[in-house]
Amino acid sequence: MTVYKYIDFQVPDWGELQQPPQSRMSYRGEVLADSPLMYLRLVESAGPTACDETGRHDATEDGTLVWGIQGPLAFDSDAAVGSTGAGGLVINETGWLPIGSSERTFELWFKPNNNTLIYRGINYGAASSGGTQSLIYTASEISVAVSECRFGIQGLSLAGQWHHAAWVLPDGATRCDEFVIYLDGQPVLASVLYGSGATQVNTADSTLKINQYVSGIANNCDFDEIAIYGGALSSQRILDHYTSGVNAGAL
Amino acid sequence: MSTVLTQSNAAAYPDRSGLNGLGLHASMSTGDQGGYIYHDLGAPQAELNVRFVFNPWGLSGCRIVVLAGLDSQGKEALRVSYLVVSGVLSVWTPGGVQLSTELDGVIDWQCVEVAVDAVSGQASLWVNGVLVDQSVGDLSASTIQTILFGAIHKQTDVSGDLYLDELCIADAYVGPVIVEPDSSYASDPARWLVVYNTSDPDAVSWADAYRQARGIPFANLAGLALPTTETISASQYEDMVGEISAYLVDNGLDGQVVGILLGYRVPGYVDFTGNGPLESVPALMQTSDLSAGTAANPNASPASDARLTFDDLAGARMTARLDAPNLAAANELVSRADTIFASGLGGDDSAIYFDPFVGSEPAYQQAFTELLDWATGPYGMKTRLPIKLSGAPSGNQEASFTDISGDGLFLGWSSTLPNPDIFSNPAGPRAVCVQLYLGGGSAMTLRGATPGNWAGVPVDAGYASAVVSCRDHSVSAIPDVGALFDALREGWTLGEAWHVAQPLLRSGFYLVGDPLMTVAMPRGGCDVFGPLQDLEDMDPTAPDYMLAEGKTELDLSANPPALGVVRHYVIRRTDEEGRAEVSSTSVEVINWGGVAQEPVSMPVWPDAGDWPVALEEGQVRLMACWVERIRSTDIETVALLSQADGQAVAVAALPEWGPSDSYVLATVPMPDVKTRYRWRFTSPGGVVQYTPFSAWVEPVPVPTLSLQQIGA
Repeated sequence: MTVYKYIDFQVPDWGELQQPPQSRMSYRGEVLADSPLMYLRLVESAGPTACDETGRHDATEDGTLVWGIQGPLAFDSDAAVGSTGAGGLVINETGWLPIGSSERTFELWFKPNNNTLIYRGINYGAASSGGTQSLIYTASEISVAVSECRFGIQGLSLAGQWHHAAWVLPDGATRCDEFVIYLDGQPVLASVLYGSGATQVNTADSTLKINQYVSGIANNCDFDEIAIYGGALSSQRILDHYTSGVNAGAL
Repeated sequence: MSTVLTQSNAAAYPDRSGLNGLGLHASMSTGDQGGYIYHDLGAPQAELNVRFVFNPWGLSGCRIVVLAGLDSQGKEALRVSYLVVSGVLSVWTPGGVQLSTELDGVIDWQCVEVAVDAVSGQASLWVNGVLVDQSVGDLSASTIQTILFGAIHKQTDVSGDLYLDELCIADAYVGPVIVEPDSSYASDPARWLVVYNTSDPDAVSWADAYRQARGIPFANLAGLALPTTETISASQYEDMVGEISAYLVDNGLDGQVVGILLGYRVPGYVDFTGNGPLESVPALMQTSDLSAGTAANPNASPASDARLTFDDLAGARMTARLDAPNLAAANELVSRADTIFASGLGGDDSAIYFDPFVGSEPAYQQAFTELLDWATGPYGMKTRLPIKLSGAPSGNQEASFTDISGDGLFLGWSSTLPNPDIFSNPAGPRAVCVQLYLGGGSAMTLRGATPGNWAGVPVDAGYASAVVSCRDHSVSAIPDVGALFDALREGWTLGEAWHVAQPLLRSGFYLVGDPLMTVAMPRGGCDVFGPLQDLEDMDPTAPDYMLAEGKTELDLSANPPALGVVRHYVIRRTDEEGRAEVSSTSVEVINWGGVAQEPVSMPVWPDAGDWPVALEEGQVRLMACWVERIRSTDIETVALLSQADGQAVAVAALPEWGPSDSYVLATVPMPDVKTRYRWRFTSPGGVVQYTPFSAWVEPVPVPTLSLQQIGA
């Protein structure tokens, strides 16, 4: 038998270690540190209620979800939910989401199971010009749609793996093409995929649908850790969230 | 900071606290911050074993990750998490291979080892040296380069103290933390394997209590999932032996363990045929082979007092069993052993009772003779304990005790079982009860108290241990009484003493109780040498009597001085370690009518025969002198005796003495015939002693003078 390393902590001042002890904030801790409006951890083993970690805006299963699947976070045994294209979540409560062109951040982890394109992964608002906002995450595309404008990136190969996505509308931004979209902690080189990038963001208040457009029309996708912020997270914070989730750079 | 890592004494693994006594202490409060240490192996390893010990019982909350492995890209390749609320330990790998087990919360420190073999796709989980889960699957993503250890990830609500220690990363099975024995002898707890049955929830409680009581290393506790029945089949026995052997070999204990204690709810009997008779598991396990036959014990009745070492065992094992009707009763046996440990035996409350069966067969008579030789000889005497026989030593009768009190040790064998009522009297600490029933099995259960189950009698009587049998046995299996008690007297453990007392191993007899118990016998007291005609006859290495501390009486009946003869007895004190004092005192004893009396203080003059007598002025003057005042002696009366030639002795004078006198003087008329004299002294106790006779005194004519001669 070859012993690679034996540590009995008998040498004071961490003398047996390559480095002193490291500290690590959990993904949950990173998210909560940014004061989200809502944070669905989706740790429940069964529906229909998905609890908001902030205690404010619980979501309800709409259609059929698979609860309790393996989540994306490193070191974290908490569960996630999966959808075969037939279910999502809904929050019927209104009056709390970012509206108009106010700054905002949406964030989640997702694992696409196929390349079915659903144009409204997370969406709310009203059908007037610039009044709706849909966040799209598929196996090949990540984008935001503001009414008839779609802004983001295509040609990705994301199927079968967990990824972190974030959409940030910075303070003072008013146009669809001013969203900053992040994939796995890094901003993507987004472009206008459809319509006019100058479409004004003027989101109306409404119910919130997650992973689906209407009942029965949903992403075939696993998803987890959905957070909505009333402010624009910095690129560093987005990166912090991501690295915490995958343990990148933790040593 | 919701997690703070420190090197702490509190986190030191008790079995290996070392010079600094440090371990890894994760102090946690509610929050999301974890902490960890890590070690980068420099390259990903396809086969890796990681062993650690941890004490998670100070935690509350939900889940915590205590160990993780990262691949060469820093991606999580292995996760070991502990679910505080349920005690479940889980192993996760990204390929879907998962393992889990539920830890028992009784034993503080748990030894966990995880093996990940990405080549074969097999992952294994050991807890406390026992394989508890194993699975095969896709481990291709689990080539590990970096190990993280600590409170790597905690759920928010986890708080409290987590102690971790003894992290070992290797390419093969590491096993529990082995404690090297400090001693070559079986008194070292590291030389015993304590087997307990994880199938019974109380068994682990017993095991941990025993571990704490005797300092058994954690690695020497073998928790095995065994049948819960007290009697098992041949195949079950084979499995059990296999598991025990595997535990010893796999965990590197086979090179140091000399004894096996079968603990609470471990099966105790094997029914090889399905119809009996039962075989005792502890007796069978005295050798490592599976055959049911007896085997000569190479260590029986050792010629020297050299203590057995691991090498001396040569494959044989010391064994014992500690089971009882319930957990409290099993723990009570350990508590009794504690009492014996603390106080030992001594005084009149700790007599040795022997109740042998003599019979007419030579083998029994030989055993009886050997017992007597020991009990009445110097070895029995060395116990400094009263030794009581059920019959007279010279007899061949089938005597038995009807009443016992003050018994510390009991040993007997008989074709009938003793009446249990003989133990009903209260007693001091009762240590060992050996009853070798010759009529067949008498102790077929330790768990069920039935009238025919004699094993329960000594336990009910308050003994800390017993030797019993569950089947017939040959006379040649009767243990060597001397070897047993000599070993105990020398401070050997009960396990060792029982082992050397057995001429045959696997004979069917088995020891019930704590094999690590020692039965201290009195070492302090008085050694007495005598009767001695002269002080220089004393052999300081061979006392004739050894009395316990506080013992003030000595029975001389076995070897008295001749009637009326004065002999010396030298008394030398020994301290509680048995060390003799340099100085000693002596007394003289006279056998006065069969009663030992202190002799009268004899004068320094006359002290030899034919002592001369002074004749003065027609009278005989006789004197006896002492070196001290007569009133300081025990002399009550003095008489001068005279014996005319051919006549009887008669009292010639009864002199008196003054308070300051150290002599007596008698003046008697000149005898008419040849006469001799002697002094007679009497003590207040009636002891009468004489000086030797004087020389004969020839009568001297008194000269007659004429008037002319006197000047008339």
